[in-house]
Amino acid sequence: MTKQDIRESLRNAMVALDEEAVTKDTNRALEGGLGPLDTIEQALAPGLSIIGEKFENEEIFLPELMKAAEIFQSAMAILQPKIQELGVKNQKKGTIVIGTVKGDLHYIGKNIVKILLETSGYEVHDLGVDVDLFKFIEAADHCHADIIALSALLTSTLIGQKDLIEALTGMGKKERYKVIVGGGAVTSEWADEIGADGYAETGYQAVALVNRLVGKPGEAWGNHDGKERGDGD
Amino acid sequence: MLARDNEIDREIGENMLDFTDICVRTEEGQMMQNMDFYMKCFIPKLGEVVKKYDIKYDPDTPVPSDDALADRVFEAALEFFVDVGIYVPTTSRNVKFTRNEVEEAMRAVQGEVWFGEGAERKVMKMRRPDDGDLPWFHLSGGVHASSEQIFLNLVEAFARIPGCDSIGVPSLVKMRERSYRVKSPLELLACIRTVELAHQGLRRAGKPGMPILNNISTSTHAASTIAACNPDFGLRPSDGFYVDSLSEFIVDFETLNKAAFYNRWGANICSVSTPLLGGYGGGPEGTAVLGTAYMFIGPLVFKGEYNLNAALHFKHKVSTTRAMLWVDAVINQATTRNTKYPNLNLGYLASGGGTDMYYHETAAFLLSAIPSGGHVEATHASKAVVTDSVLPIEMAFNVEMGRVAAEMTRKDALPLVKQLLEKYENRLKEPPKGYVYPDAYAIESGKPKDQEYLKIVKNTKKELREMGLPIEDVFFH
Repeated sequence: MTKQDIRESLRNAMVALDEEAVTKDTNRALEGGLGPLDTIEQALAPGLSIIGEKFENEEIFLPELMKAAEIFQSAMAILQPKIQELGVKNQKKGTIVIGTVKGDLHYIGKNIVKILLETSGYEVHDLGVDVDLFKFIEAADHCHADIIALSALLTSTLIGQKDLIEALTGMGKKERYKVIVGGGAVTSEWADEIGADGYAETGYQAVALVNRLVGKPGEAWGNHDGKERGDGD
Repeated sequence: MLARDNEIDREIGENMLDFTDICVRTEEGQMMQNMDFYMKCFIPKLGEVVKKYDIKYDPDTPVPSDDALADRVFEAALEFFVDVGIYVPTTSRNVKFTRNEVEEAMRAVQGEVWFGEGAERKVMKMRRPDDGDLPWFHLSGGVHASSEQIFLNLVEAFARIPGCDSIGVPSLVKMRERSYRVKSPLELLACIRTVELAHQGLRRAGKPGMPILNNISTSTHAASTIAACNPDFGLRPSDGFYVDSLSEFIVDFETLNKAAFYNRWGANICSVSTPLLGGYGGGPEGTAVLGTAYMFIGPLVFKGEYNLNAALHFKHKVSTTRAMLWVDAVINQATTRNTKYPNLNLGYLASGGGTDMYYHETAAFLLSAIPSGGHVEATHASKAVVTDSVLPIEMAFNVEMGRVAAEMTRKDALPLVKQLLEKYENRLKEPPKGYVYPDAYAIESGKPKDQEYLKIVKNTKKELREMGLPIEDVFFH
């Protein structure tokens, strides 16, 4: 099997949500000298990208997306020690703190965004639902987040998004983080009114928004020098 | 009469759980994390029953008339619910019920619910697919009104619409020009004010006894809801009281607190289900099974007497995609063929009022739900997020179109729904915004003022009549 064959096999296994085959092909990739970042960038990430497109086109739904995230994490568990051996840092495209604002218990939309961001190469810290605004700021400070993402389904909880921006401004931290908003009750007009840095109506739009704000969509997972990558077949 | 009194419930059968039994059980189920509930129980079992019962979505048949399919969906839903149960986040427990307990709760459902007072007292009866009976018309503006004047105008207009059986009131956006936040004293005050205004509007319409079915749309909190139920503010047990599960199958103590109060008050309880197509239910097949399984939560857990189904597409946030119409049709058919639990249907539309698309979407939704055995909560424009987007003429159209749909069988409706889908399906991503109340109506008189708005309404109704839908104007004609 050539390196290209291994990449294709792993990508196809990812798209087919075949966990056993993904595990097997990930090990095979390392044994075949692909290197962990090559394995991610040339096989797993393209597979996830196809899954994201299928989700956007409604060919698959949240259960399949969650399964994809689970399989991807199991592959990453195999690759992670090798990445550390390479001394590669900052393998994520950015860091996001996400949660549903105080008083709101809805979570499905937030969970979809979380999974799509994770499978797009972002580090996501999910604070859950009914989150106090200072918890968002503490978490963002702690993990040096690029973005704080706030979900709200109810009109009466929208104000929690406004509160967070007001608190960030009062603490002199507004310029440190981009704040993006979404959820059933949120509109682009509301996002403008409260001074949010972005609004997305769907999960896929949220990923595109994050890419625009902090990420580099064309660049894949690592801030690496290419040493670990195979030089061809 | 307190029909849910413990002793009376006990007489129904040995497997009948009363509300106190339910509350006790929320402390006794298996402890697990929320995500484990979905990943280990909910998603695998739903996939299993969809396959086992051979549930298949056909995009070419958005309104199916396959009774065998409906019955298989019902059986799949029952097996799914008995296996999976509900998740109570407050106690982190997965609470399950036996098949006997579920079946006994469903057998105890009366199949008819009395609402309202005096001259406006009416009964909502069970419908069946293709039965030709008129559905219940619940004209609801559970969307936000920017001022008390618009609020009053809307309530009065809804109540005056011939054929209106019950109303839902808008929610107030602000108290003294200030947005209120969830669980706040301002929210509680806004809830009380909402009820006071609703009764003022009903009196203006000369329909003081007309039932209010959406409880208090301003309220998100049990304390606010219960406060506004004080008799001094006007809500009555004969109104309708919504109790919502969170999507999917989440029943928290906030919800049960409301249900506890309504049960002891003897109020008409409505279970609310919002299965999400594309969410944990997966595709159309899983969502149809899930939406049907929600019908067991109402009578069993909340002691509900009827249901409100507001199934939604996870991405478009509407009820009118092709797959959503199929899902709603199947949920209604499965439920009304196999239970006595009346089901209202709320359609979320992409478009705004005063657009041709609003009328196309509403017609398609009603032609799917009503011949399938469902009752009607009037469709909500603009995904129900635009303030003042509820318009009286559009409310009246739900009655006009609903009466036509009631005369049709599922087979009659299918080709019409397909024609309507052709008109709007490719516009769902970027729908026309339409009108808001202050642009289309005179605030002082409450009458339509914008001629372009009226022209669009008139022309679109004409177009629908030419399609073979004999709509008769009931309002402002």
